[in-house]
Formats: sequence, structure tokens, C-alpha cells
Amino acid sequence: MASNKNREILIKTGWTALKVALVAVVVIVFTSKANNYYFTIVNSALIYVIAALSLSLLLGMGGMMSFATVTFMGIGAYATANLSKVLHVPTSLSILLAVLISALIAFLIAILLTRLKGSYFAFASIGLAQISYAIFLNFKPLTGGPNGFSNVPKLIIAGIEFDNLKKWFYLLLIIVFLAALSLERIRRTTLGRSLAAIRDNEIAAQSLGIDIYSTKIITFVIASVYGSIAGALIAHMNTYLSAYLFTFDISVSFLIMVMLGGVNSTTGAILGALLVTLIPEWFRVLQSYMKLIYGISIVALMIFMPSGLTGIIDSIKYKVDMEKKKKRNKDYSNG
Amino acid sequence: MTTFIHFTIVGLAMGMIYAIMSLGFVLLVRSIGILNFAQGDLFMLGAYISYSLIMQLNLSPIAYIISAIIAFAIIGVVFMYVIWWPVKKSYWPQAPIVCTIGASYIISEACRLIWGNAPLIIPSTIKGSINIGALTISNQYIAILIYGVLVISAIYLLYEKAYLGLILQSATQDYMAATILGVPVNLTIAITYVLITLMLGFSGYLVAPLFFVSQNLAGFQVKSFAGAIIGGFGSLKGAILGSIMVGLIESYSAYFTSVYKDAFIFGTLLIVLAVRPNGLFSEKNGK
Repeated sequence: MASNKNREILIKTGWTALKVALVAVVVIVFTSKANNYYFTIVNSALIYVIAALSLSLLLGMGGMMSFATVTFMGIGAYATANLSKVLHVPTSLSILLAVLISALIAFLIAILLTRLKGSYFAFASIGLAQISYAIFLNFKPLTGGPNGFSNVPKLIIAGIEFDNLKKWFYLLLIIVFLAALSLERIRRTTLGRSLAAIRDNEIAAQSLGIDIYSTKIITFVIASVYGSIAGALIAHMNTYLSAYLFTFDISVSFLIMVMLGGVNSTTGAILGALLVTLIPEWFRVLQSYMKLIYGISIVALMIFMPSGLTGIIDSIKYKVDMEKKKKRNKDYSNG
Repeated sequence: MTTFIHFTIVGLAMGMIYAIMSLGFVLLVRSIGILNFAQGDLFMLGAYISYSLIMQLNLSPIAYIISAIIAFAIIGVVFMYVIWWPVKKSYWPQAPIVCTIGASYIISEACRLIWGNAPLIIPSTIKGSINIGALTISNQYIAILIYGVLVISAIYLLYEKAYLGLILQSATQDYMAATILGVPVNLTIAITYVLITLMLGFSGYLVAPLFFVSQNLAGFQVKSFAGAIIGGFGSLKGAILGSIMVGLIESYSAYFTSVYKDAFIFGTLLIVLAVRPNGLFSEKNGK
């Protein structure tokens, strides 16, 4: 029995080591080969991973379909841009303040929105995304209006200035890793478990003493924190902001990312975000059909694999395990 | 004063269109229990198809009406069998809703690829305008008002008073019981889809002369949804009154601003949600 357990642990650590090694090899090969163009694409893909994690928390764990991720990205981006450029706050501090501001706004909005159920919540969040887009596009004093907001200061953390894309790449890798780790941690806390309970059966969750309203509000605020971090990073990386970075279409692409990877899986969200950002770059010929392909792939995903890539991997794993069990049982009965 | 009357009539007419769209939402929620995010795109598709029938095929009014009815009905049935049918038993309850988001992308992109990016022009249904003193109102608004009153009262009577309306709603209340009682569930759902595409398609055609035929028409959906929530989603009455309110608010907001019209509507929505989460005109309080 003991040896069996040891073997399992050994296999598990072996797998983890293999995964880490694989990621390390990809990163090393990429950084040695890539030019600025590839860094631009991959960096924005990494930022979208953070935003996708925000949606994964809301939709996958909590079953709340939100299109307001872009709203909080925008708030984070414009807040840090204004703080650092106009008020000359140090950039690392201004990002923190921007996240705080966005969390505060998210809290106020959540008080209203989380009263709505299911699809009503989804539609209200679409409304929110439209309002925020209208404001980002037209409110000149804070957002620069249609001309956009230029010359956002470069990010400086602990004396290191992030002035080239390679440095950004490493920084984003670390942030994505931390974000994914914290999301996995949330999944295992009381909050994550009560959220999953609410998603699966609201009445049962309520009868177990879970406060549905406050759980949803806390989740919404945490999700907005992820979103605003992504937005703030965009602001400092591009040093230029325009309202077109925060449209409803971008929100829909987050939805596709999360669904492609697997709605309730952190790895899935990362995988989905990378694929959805990178695939259009590989098929540039199809640029004008991209949205049509998006639409068709959403419908096809829902029909053929509603649990995404990781769902397929899980079901294959499950089948293999069942086969093994069957075999073992046969061995026992024979011996 | 004349501007006030003008704004009121325009607001009422737009409110009628929003009301028809939000009735579409409510009907689908009542018949299969899902929200349709592709409403606005079906509405836009109606305008595009009308453009093709009237401007490209040069059909006479009667031929147009007949062929449009056939076209919209086919679209409704196809929509049902492609977007809802394959996912109706999905273990992820949000799959059918997400599917309609995909459908919205497909329809709007297909329209862009077929008819191009440039806004197209359809002549008014009834040409000319009415002059009352200093006031000039395009006849198109009158046509929309008449169409709106007719469609809304027909749907209201059908769903709230007629026996057929009860049958149409039985599938979502208890699918099994409805089947046992001999309700042809698939047929009733198909009828609902066809009704919705007909309503939306013809309203798309009526709005087209005022706003041009373009992909922007799909944006009407969010406002109509705001109307449905403001009024109270549970009842047809709430959805109708709320949507007309949204039309009026949008129209009157032209007094103050031109770029923040949408923000006005959604601001109202947020206030209503804070004060009366179930909507202004909902019959029952609580859940």
C-alpha cells in the first residue's frame, strides 16, 4: 500500500517536473529566436491570459457570464496612465492605486449587478461594457477622447526600467505565473468552494449557509482586480491607450479563450488565451474572415466540446484510468 | 414645445421597436428558457433581406411581404435547428446562450461579407411627412407607431389571453408533462422562433429608412434589453412599458447630450436595479 502511494507521488512530481521543463525549453528557445514582432504578439497574449483568468474565475468557478472584463481593464489602464503621467506618481505605485480604484468601482457595481441572475447578469454586463466604451471614447479630460492617451511613462520596478520587450516578456511570465497560482489557490479556499456550490445549485448552497450575495460580490471584485492588472500592464507596455483596446469584441474574444481552453480550468484559460491570440497571426490570409471564424468556432465548440481542450484531455485520462482499474480488478479476481 | 412633441413622437416610435425586440426576448425565455443574444442581428438581417428584395429584385409591395414572410420563417427554423437544437441537452446550462453569441457573430459577419461595409439606403415605406404648424414628422415614424401597436397588441393577446399562447409556453414549464399531454413541443418551439424572426425582420425593415441598413442596427438589442429589465422581465407588460420608457429617455436625452445617450439609458438601468431589482412594472415583489 505504502509503496503504491510513494509511486503515485513519484509519478506526480515526475509529471510536474516534465511540464516545468517543457515550459522552460519553450521559453528559452523562444527568447533566443524571437524578434521584436514576436515579442509584441506574445506579450499581448500573456496580458490577455491575465484577463482570461479573470473571466475564468467569474464564469468557470462562479457561473457568472460577464462581459465587463474590458471595463475594468480600461479603468485600470486609464487610472494608472493618469496617475503616473499627470500626477507623477511612481509607476509601480500607480499600478497598485489603479487596481485599488478599479476594485472600489467594481464593488459598487457588483452591489447592483450581482442581484441579477444568469443571463440577465450577462446582459447587464454587456450594458456596462457599452457604457464604459462610450466613456473611454468620449471623455476627453481623463482618456484623451478619440485621439487616445499617449506618452504613458515606462514601468519602473525597484530601479529596473522595463524599456524593451524582452524585459517585459520575463516580467509578464512571472505575473502570469503568480496570477495562475493565486487563482488555483482561490479554487481551494472556502470562497472558491462556496462559489462552485452556488454555480451548481443555488438553493442547495443557500441551505448550507452560504451567503450568495456577498460571495458573488467578493468574486466580482477579485475578478476586476485581475482585469485591472491586465489593463494597467497594457498601459505601461504600449505607452499608448485608445478606447479600441476595450471594446465589446475584445470581451467576446476573452469568452472564446476561456471556452476553448476549458471553462473551469486555469491551464485551460492560459492555453486558450495563447491560442486565440496566436492563431490569427499564423493565418493572416484569413484576416477579413476572422470574426466569422470566431462565430462559427463558438457554435462548434459549444456543440462538440463544451468543456474545451482540457475537458477532452480529462475525459481521455478518465477513460485510461477506468481501463487500468478494469485490468487490475481482472488481475485480482484471477490471482 | 414643437421640439418636445417631436422628441415624444420619435421616442414613442423607437420605444415601439425596442418593445418588439424585448418581446422577442421574453417570448424565447418563456418558450425554451434561454436568452437570445442574436436578436439584434436577426433584426439587422431583416433589414438587409428587405433591401435585397425591394432594391435589388424590385418586388411589388405584396410580393415583398409574401417573400419576406417566407424568408424570415426559413431563417427562424434554421436558426432553431442550428443554434439551439444541438445544444439543448448540453450538460453545461449556459451552452445554448453562448451559442447565440456565436450566432450573432456569424450573422453580422455574413451580412458584412455579402452586402459589404457601406450603409445601404431603403426608401421610406410611406413617403413624405406630416406638417402640424412648425412641426414636421416623417411618415416613417407614423408607420412604425402603427406597426408597433398592432404587433404588440397581437402578441399580448396571443400570450396572455389565448389558449394557443399557453400551449406555446408549456414546453419550458415542464417539457415532459407537455409532451405527455400531447403538445407537439418541437412545433410550438419552431412557431415561437418563426414569430420572433417575423417580428424582428419587419421591424428591421421599418427602421432601415431612418438609420440606413448597416451592421450598427444590431446595437438596438442592448437598449431593448435594458428596457426589458427596467420594466421587469417577468411580464410582457413590464417589458413593453420599460422599452417604451427607454425610447423616450433616449429621445429626451438629446436635450442634454449627443454622445452619452447610451450612458443615460444604462445609468437609468443601474438606478432601477438599485431601487427595484425586479423592474418598475413587475407584479410581484421579491423573487
